[in-house]
Amino acid sequence: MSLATSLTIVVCTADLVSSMSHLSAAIYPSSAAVYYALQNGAIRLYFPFLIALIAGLGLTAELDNRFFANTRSRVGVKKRLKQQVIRVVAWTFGVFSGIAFVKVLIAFLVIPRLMPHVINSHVYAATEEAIQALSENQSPLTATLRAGLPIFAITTAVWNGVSASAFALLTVVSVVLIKNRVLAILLPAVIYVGESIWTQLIGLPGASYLGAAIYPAGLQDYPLGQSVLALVGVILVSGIAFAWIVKISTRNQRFA
Amino acid sequence: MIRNFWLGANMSLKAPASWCFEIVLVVLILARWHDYSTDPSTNPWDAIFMVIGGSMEIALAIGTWAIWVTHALGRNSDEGSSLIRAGSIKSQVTRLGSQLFGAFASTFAVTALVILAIFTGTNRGSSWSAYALTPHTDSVSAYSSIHFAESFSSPVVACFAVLFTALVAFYLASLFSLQLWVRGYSSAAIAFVIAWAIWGLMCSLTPIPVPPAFDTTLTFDLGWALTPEKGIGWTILGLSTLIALNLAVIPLLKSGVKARQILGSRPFVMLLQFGLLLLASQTLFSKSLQGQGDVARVFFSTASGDLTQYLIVSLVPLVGVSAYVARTKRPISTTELVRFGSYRRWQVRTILREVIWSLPFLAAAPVVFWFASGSSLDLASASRFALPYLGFVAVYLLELTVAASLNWFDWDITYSWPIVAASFFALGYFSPLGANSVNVFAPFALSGDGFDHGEALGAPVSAALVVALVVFVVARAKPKFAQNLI
Repeated sequence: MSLATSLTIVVCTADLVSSMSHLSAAIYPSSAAVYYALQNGAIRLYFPFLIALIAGLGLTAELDNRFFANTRSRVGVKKRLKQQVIRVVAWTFGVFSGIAFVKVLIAFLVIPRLMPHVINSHVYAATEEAIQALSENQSPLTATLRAGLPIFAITTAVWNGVSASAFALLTVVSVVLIKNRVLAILLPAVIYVGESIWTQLIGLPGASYLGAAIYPAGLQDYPLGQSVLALVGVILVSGIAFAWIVKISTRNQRFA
Repeated sequence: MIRNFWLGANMSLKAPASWCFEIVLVVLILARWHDYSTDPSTNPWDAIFMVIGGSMEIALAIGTWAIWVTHALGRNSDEGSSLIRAGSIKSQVTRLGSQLFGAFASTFAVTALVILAIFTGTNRGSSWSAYALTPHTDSVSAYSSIHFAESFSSPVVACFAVLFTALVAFYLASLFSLQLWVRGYSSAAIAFVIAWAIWGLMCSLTPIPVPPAFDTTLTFDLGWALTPEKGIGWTILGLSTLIALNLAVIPLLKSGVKARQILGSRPFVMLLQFGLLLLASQTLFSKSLQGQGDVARVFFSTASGDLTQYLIVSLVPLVGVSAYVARTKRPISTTELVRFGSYRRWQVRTILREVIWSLPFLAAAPVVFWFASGSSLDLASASRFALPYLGFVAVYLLELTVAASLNWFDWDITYSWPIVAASFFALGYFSPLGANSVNVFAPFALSGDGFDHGEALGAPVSAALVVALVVFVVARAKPKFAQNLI
């Protein structure tokens, strides 16, 4: 396990513990609301930095110490680039969907047993259906709870993993395109924060990565379509850029 | 110059693209006129303004034509033989600019003739129609002749003004593109003119209201700009920006400066920081502050406040220090250390150099805060920003000290600085010790519990400065791995 992944796990655990310690300060209508509270912490801010470290550090080092260039006779540059991307995309998907999955387990199985006083639905609404409607209004992915907890767990884990993979792909593109290592690692975070500010300003809050990348929640009548569009946007842009990088990689001076 | 003007006019007059443009214009006007002509109180001007004043029609028709003319003139213009024939880059730009002017002028003339032909042909009078002069209570299209009749006495003048604005805006955009093209940035050039046309089309089609500062249709569409809530000022601002772009490209690209050098330069970073601060005050204005009272609390927002505002303000010092980290050559060269005499002196000089370079920005920042504090520029409201501003400077110093001290550790700056930056960013908003505690990561952010700045901010500001000092002292005067350095 790399330094960046260990750091991710340490930071996410610390964040989780800190969020859990703050849980008892309020009463939540449902486990879905507890899950939202766990996902709505500092992770929304440090997410792109961690992704960039996981996905970018290895490739930066390989490009920097000329490992990439010196082994070209052994492994073709196109093949190595594709392998690299598949590795980081799969790895970030695994790590971040795992984190989301663990949080679902904690919110739905551990908290109701460990801290039963935290969840009290009667304060908010009378019926189960009303509580569910309340959750769905705020965090649209909870609609999958109707199909059962496993489906919800898989949906949020996949959402979290896919956005992590999308930013991992963006990091790879940024590391190849930008020679300055510090700027290359910081670029995904800049895009993440910049896009969030921009979409807030033009009145498309659902499309901001800050609100949508980890777990789309936090707005009244959350427009999930905007979040999907933003996610598809970053996947498309970095995917096309990566395809172009692979296409010209044989004559790219960066790998020479 | 005059010869090139006629060459351009000749090229445009003979080109199928120009004739397609005119045919599209005529078809659109006649289609509109087909609807309007059943009403006896109308005349062709009502149909003409719906077409030549419509931002979608302008962006689509003139935009396509402008892309064609830019490509036709720019193609091969950066090749050696073509540049040699012109003599220099400057004269090549003059040559192409004159040809472009000729092309636009001839299109203007032909379009004006087409419009005159249409309105004389229908024989329903040449002045504003009764339809246009009737006061309407219900909302009408921004491109309707009713709006133009309010501002212009004669439809001919209005028509010329509308056409003139559209063509000037597209002329300036195409000219900028050609300037880039001649200097060898052909892809950027064609991308710019296409992006200009497509962005205009998107602004005119989108159901989402685009902020006026980004709405390029206000630049080329007089009808849209004349609607009461927009204002002609935006058109003037847009055209001035295009002129400034055209003028700025000459000094920036003359010496063959690469975009990377411009983006990495200190003045650019300073402009970026200043732009972020202006953006922060812009978002402040957009949230109606009536009733909220304390501008400073909203501007320097934290966990209890507005996230967007926090993001923008906390980015400002991070951008400056990240630029410093990105500029630093690593490892630090031995000769540089020897020149300064000791590691400590190197560190002091590094921090001082960065601080002195950011002095213009740090001195100009209070002006932004002052303006943000409202229309009444009194000292009392400005003084509300004094402590948050000190906190802002303190966190800048702290981040700078940490970044400079990172040089003394055997860690790769590629990961150590992003980790530090992410910590400042996340912990500034989510205070590690609770919302109302002393937060050295965002000492500018006013605490959630009240309005009393003196009590609330004195502690974090001094804490941040103390932490900066501690980091400076504790980061070893003699690095652990000094043997590796020397």
